[in-house]
Amino acid sequence: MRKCFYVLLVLLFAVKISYSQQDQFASFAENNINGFAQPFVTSLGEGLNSGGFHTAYVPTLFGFSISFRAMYIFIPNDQKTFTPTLPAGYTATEPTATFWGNKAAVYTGPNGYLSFVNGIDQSGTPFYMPQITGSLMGTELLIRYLPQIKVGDKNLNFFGIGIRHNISQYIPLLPVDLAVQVLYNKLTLQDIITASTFAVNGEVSKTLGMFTAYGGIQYETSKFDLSYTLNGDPGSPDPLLRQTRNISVSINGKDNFRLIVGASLKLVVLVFNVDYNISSQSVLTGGISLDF
Amino acid sequence: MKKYLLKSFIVVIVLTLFSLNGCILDSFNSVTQNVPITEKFIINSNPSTHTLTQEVSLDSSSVYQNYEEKIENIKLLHAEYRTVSVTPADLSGNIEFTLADKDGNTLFSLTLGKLTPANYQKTPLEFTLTSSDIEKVNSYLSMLSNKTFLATISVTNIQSSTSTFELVGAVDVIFEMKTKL
Repeated sequence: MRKCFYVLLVLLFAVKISYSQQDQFASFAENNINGFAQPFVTSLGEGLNSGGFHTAYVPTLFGFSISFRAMYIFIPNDQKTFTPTLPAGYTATEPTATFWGNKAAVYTGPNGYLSFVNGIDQSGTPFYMPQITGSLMGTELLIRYLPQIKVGDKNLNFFGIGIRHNISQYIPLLPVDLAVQVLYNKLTLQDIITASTFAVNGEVSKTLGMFTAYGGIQYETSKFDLSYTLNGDPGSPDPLLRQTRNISVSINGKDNFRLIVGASLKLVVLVFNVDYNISSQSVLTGGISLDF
Repeated sequence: MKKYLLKSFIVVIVLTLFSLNGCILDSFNSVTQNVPITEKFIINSNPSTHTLTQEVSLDSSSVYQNYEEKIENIKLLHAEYRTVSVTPADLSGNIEFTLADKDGNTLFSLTLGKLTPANYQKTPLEFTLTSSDIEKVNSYLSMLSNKTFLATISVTNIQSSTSTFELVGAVDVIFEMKTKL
């Protein structure tokens, strides 16, 4: 019940990490943690960099909106396995599981068996975020924020900010709305994770009555600084895995570009939207907003 | 109408969130990792027949020790023979391997045939285990207090170009262990 509570009110990923990081990451040294964790970092980036807009229209006078975004991130099969770096005498005859994958491969060589931890065997993951926006004179400020929350014995902090600007106001008689947006998000789980994402996009939309069709193209990055304790096994064939020690690594997500296509329905001040994001890990985003 | 739409949408969202979370959070109730253990044996005199029985315990693995109190189940995945060192290189013999439970009841027995150990220094010899062999081991391990095996290796018809020899061999076994988080 405690977990469900956190998931609904916090960010699912932070909870996942707090419960699993020691055991999921603790069998990887610096040489393979990137391969194992990168698809997870990509998912985090895909989630945080989603849901930044549901129309390219930015009010030229004043606007205010409260939104709730729910995403479902699809994990492609090629991000469920990776080819690990193995010690001398061992050959990676098959790939092993990433964080999202299934069974870990077992390798054999002159010093016995070598293997890693299994993945969690998932093809997708949900992600949720509340956000508010306020606009003035064609420029909109987006804020995502959660007050500090205890997750286990760690403090979780999340903050996101975005700026969006109406471009179509400078082009008379343009039949569509155009805007550009910059987004930055930061999530920290005390002593374990600092995750930051950045995105810049160009947006276009066309409104017909209650319906708006919108789309965009986005460049983005995600970075994950992770600290964990490697559970050393003195009998391991891999010298890097023999000693228990603390490891700090920085991992970049594989998300770089995405294409966004979506539609929204506005009923007075209530807006429902759905969009599909074609990216390294595709994302289906749904949202409900109160737009004033 | 608007209120009805809003309520319906919120109900759908909440139900979807709960159902999706239920699925994915189940994955975080446990972690599965592989536990390799190795038992070495040494044969270093010159009769033509040797039989060695050694106790093998999962306790020899630090991974097992770390998670012993949280194990949900543990299963046999693979086993192999490996030569650590051998002198002279042309040493050969017929090798038989038997794995028994702690009371000496055989779980499986393999006749590996006439082998030249020098061939298995870089590339170990994977044991071909039947599903029945694996089932017997897993049945034994299903009682989580069972963590000790008796491994017997018999070498017969030993042939060597020298009157003395030394063989250091190893049997590697890898288990899949599911533990609670």
